[in-house]
Amino acid sequence: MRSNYTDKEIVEGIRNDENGALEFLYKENFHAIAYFIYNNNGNEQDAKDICQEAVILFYEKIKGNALELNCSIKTYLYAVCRRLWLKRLYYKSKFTSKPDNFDELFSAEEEGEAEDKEKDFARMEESMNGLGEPCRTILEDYYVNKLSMTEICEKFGYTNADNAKNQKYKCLIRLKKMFFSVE
Amino acid sequence: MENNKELLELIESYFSGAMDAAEKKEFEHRRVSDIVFANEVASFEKLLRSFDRHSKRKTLKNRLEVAHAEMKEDVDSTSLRATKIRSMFSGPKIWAAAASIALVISMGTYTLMNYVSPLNHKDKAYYRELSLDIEKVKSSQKKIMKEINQGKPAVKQASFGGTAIAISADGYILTSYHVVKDVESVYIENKKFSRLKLKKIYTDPVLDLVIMKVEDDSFKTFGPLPFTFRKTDLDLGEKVFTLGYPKQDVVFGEGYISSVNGYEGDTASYQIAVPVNPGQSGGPLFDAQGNLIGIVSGKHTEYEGSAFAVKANYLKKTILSNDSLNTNIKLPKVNYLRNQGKIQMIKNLQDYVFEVKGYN
Repeated sequence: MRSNYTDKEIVEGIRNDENGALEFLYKENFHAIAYFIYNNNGNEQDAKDICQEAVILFYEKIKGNALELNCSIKTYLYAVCRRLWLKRLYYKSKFTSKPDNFDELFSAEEEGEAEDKEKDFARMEESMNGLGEPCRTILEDYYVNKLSMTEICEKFGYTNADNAKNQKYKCLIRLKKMFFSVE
Repeated sequence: MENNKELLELIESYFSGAMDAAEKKEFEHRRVSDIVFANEVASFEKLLRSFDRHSKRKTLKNRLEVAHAEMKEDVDSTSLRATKIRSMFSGPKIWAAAASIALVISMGTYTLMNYVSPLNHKDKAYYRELSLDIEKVKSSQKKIMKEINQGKPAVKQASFGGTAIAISADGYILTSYHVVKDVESVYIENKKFSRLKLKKIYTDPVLDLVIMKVEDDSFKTFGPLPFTFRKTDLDLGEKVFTLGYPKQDVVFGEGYISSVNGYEGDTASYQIAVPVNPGQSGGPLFDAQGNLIGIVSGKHTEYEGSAFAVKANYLKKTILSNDSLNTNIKLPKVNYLRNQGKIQMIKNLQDYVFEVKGYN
C-alpha cells in the first residue's frame, strides 16, 4: 500500500476504486478530528463514528460527482465532522443552540438529504438484522455479490435453481414488509 | 389479481433490463394507468436502492474499521519510542546523551529477555514440569469424566472431553493438543451446528495446540466469524473472559490477565485469574472487545485461581509461517463485536465454541 497521497490522488483513487486511498484519508485525518471530539464531550467511539461517517459521505459525494472543493480535503472533512458532532450534541441536548449558523458549507437541502440517507441506512440495518439467515446472505449474494441463481442454489444446498429462486422472493417480500413497517 | 411473487418478478425484470421492447412498453403503460401498480413499483425501487446503498456503506465501514485497527496498532508500537525521542530533543544536551544511553540499554534488555525465554523452552527440566502439570490436569479430568459417565446407559462414552473454537468459516477448529492426543476419533458439538466429525491437520505439542478440520458431509460453512485475533500483546490487569464446556452446557468465566508470562515464565502463554475446570482445556480466551487472545491450556495445581492460556499471537505466527496452513486457513479479518455489550457479544460468540468429544 502507498504511504502518501496528494488530495488529487485521493480523489482519483476513490474514483478508480483503488485500494488504499480511502484508508489513507481516514488514518491521516482521524487524530485531528478525535482531538476536537475529545475536547467536546466525546470519547474514542464517538470520534470513530463521526470520522467514518464523514469519510463515507465524502466518498459518496466523489462517486456521485457531487462535490466541488475549494479548500483542502483535510479542511473539508474537519468542517463536516465538526458539524456532525455539534448536531449530535444538540440532539443529546448538551449543546444549547442549534448549529445552524456555524458555517456555510452546506445548504439546508443537502443537510436534509444527508439526514434522510442516514435514517434510511439505520432502517435497512434494522430490517436486515431482523431478517436472519439464510435470507440475509441469499439477498446479499444475489444483489450485491451478483452470484447467479445456480451458484446460490449450490452454496445453500437447494435441490434446484427454482427452489432457490422461490426462497429469494420470499426473503425479498419479508425484507420489504420489514423495511416499510419500521417507518 | 397477481400475487406478490409474480409482481416482484415482473418489476425486477424491468429494472434489470431483461424485458424486450413490447413488454417494456406494456409495463410502462401500466405504470401510468394503474396507480396501485405504480406505487408497488416505486416502493420496490426504493427498497432495492436502499438495499444497495446499505450494503455499499457496510463494506466501506468494514474497510474503515480495519484501517482504524491498523492505525491503533501503529500508534501502540511507536508511542513508547516516540516519547523517549521527544524527551531527548526537549532537554539539555547532557540529558539527551543520558536518555539515548538509557534507550539503548532498555532496548537491549528487551530484546535479550525476549530472546532468552524461547531458549528456556528447550530446557528439558522445564519441559518435564510443564507436561507433568498437564498430566495432573488430565488425570483429574479423566476421573471426573468417569464419575459422570457411571450410571448412565452405555451407548459409547466419550473417553475425553474439552472445548474448541472455530477459526475460519470453512471449518478449521482449534483446541489444545493434550485434549485429543490419545484419542482416535474426535467430534465437536454445540447447539447451533450439533455434531461434526473432525480430522487432525496440524499438531504442535510444544505450544500444546492442534488444528483440525471438519470433515462432515452435511457441513457447509460456519458463516463469517464475528471475531478476529488480537494483534497486540495484553497488559497486566486487562479484563478477559472464557467460554467452555466443563459440563454439557456452555459456561462463561471472567477474570483478568494476572501475569504476562505463563507457567514457569513461559513467554508463549499468559497466566490468567479466571476460574477454569477440567473440560475447559482448548477453550477460547477473549478480551473485552471480543478479540481472540488465547487458548486455555491448564491450571496450576498448587496455586488457587491461576490458569494458563497459550497466546493467540504465537498460534497466528505458526499458521503464517507454515505455507500449507497459511494458504488454506482464511483467518477472520473483521471484528463485528467491538461495539456490542457483553451479553450480546457472548450470544454471538457461543455459536463458534464447541464441546470436544474424543473416542478411543
